[in-house]
Amino acid sequence: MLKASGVVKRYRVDKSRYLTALDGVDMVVEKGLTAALVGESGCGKSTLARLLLRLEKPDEGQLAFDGADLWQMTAGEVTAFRRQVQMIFQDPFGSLNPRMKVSELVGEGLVVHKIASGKVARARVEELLALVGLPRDSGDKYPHQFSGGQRQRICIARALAVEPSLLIADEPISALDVSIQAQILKLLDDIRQRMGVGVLLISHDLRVVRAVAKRVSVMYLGTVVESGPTDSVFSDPKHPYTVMLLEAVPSTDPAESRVAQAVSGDPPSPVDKPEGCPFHPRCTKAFEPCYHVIPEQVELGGGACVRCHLYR
Amino acid sequence: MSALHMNSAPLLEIKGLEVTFSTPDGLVRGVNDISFTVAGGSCTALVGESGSGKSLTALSVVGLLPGNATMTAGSIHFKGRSLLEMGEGELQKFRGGEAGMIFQEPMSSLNPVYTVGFHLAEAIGKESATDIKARSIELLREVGIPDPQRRLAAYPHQLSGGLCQRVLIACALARNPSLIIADEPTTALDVTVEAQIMALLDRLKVERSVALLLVTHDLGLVAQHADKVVVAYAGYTVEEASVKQLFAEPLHPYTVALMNAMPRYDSGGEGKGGLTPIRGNIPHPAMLPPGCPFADRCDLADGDCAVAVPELRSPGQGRMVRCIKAG
Repeated sequence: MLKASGVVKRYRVDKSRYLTALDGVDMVVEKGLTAALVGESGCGKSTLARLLLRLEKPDEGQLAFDGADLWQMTAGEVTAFRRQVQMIFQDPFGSLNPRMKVSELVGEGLVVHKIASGKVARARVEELLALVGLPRDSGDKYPHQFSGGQRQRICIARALAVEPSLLIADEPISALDVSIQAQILKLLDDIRQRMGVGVLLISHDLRVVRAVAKRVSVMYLGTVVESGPTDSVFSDPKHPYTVMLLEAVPSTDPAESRVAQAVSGDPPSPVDKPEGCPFHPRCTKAFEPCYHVIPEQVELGGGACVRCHLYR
Repeated sequence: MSALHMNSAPLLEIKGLEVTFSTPDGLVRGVNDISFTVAGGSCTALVGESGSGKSLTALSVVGLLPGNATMTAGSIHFKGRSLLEMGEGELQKFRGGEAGMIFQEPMSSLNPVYTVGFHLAEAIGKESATDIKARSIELLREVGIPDPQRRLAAYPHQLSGGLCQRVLIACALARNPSLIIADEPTTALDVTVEAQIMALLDRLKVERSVALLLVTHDLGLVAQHADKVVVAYAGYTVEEASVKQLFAEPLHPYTVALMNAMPRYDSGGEGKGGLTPIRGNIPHPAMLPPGCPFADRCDLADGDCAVAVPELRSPGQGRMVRCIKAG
């Protein structure tokens, strides 16, 4: 289980200004479940992924894997951690080395982590390629010989090679065609069920999140404003931002036309965030405390939390 | 739709469009046979995945095909006039005049070294400086840009993606077009900004009665904003219907499969609606089968489908479908 608590990450913009990408984020990714992280671009989704992977160090707060602090690990423990948590990126064209054969790409982790070599490794690679639904002869080909969906399958096979317990997938389908998106989502879900890996799905597409995730966290300007079981968040959203996001998604039923008037404005820059609740300039329900006081997280029961003055 | 509306000549009519690329590996057809019409003041959505020929069709209309691509068959008529027979002067008037165009990447569609005002002045054309300024402010106000006076001096990098797209829409409106072609206008934008831009396009359609050709892969946008839908697959129109007809009863197996593959959070049950994958991949344009291009991914296909590409036929109710099994 991978857990972030109160994580803060700031980047220096110039001499006196900081960009607060993450401002006290709590997040849990459990084994065998799909958790989702949604929000608009610039809200800090990908920064959180980098921290969860131990690619960057938080300025405040803690990150822990199975109870062990990521930044108090010995070198050996870090190597073991790297094997446990694997990443799938958005762009399957940019994340595969074009000069490496598929068998080398998928098998690299086996060699690095000294899991298998030689014939054993080759057999394991073939097994993995079959698992993700690629033809048997794929190992001898190069990435350019595959379509986008097939390349994403290669990325998934590569991530699974080291038998991780968690997969972090950052917008894994947004570069793919609609008819292929469903294939990849289904594959990720099959793998989760069969191998018991946990999945953190980072996405801006609420429809995708609704369809596959068990839990969802909604981020806005570096804070998780609402989290809870997907069904309850989607059927009864609490935070005005979640309501706005859901209203913005076009319905696939022409008879159901939703009023998108509530949607207004752009997200403010994370460099100079508004005082008080970061969402108040776009919020239709803002009242006195919202302009000056940052709302605390409120537990709503059933594992749901919200960060909004309406629910004090 | 009134009988009068049905009888009047369409604003834009594309018939049997074929676009061929010359590549180092020989000639490859990007568009094989695309036909549809756009009625004045209405929104027609052209839906398809990458490789369906939807963007090439849009580019053909405004004559912006890439250098190695040419229209090798078919016709495009605008207000009854063939675009192929127009001279260069007339075409110039048509592009950016009668027909405005909005692209997918608002940030890279504006020149980073010029101001918003410069882009608008270029679109407005030969007018006096004071007229251009007044007209620019008016256009920016119309597309909902706050503080238009100040924004004229802004450079593209100072604007968000949503504001850039509004500026581009203002440019497209500069010469009072009767048609706006929007190629994936919101794909690069966040969902809340997407809703704002689509609401703006809806408003322009009503207020200025400008027709919209919306090129997209998002069936949600289609359901909410289009009046008519044209579905393209592998360079062929495979289905054409009104939005109501298409979503109530999709006829072509590809349309059906596409709808089932879409995640839809508004479906009942466990929220597990949609997401039924379509097996296989879109065929490469250079390796299209002799028969129906969708046959090897289709559940209804049999031997008959592999013989020849089906003709676009009408199953009634003003609909069109390219399938021998459907309906």
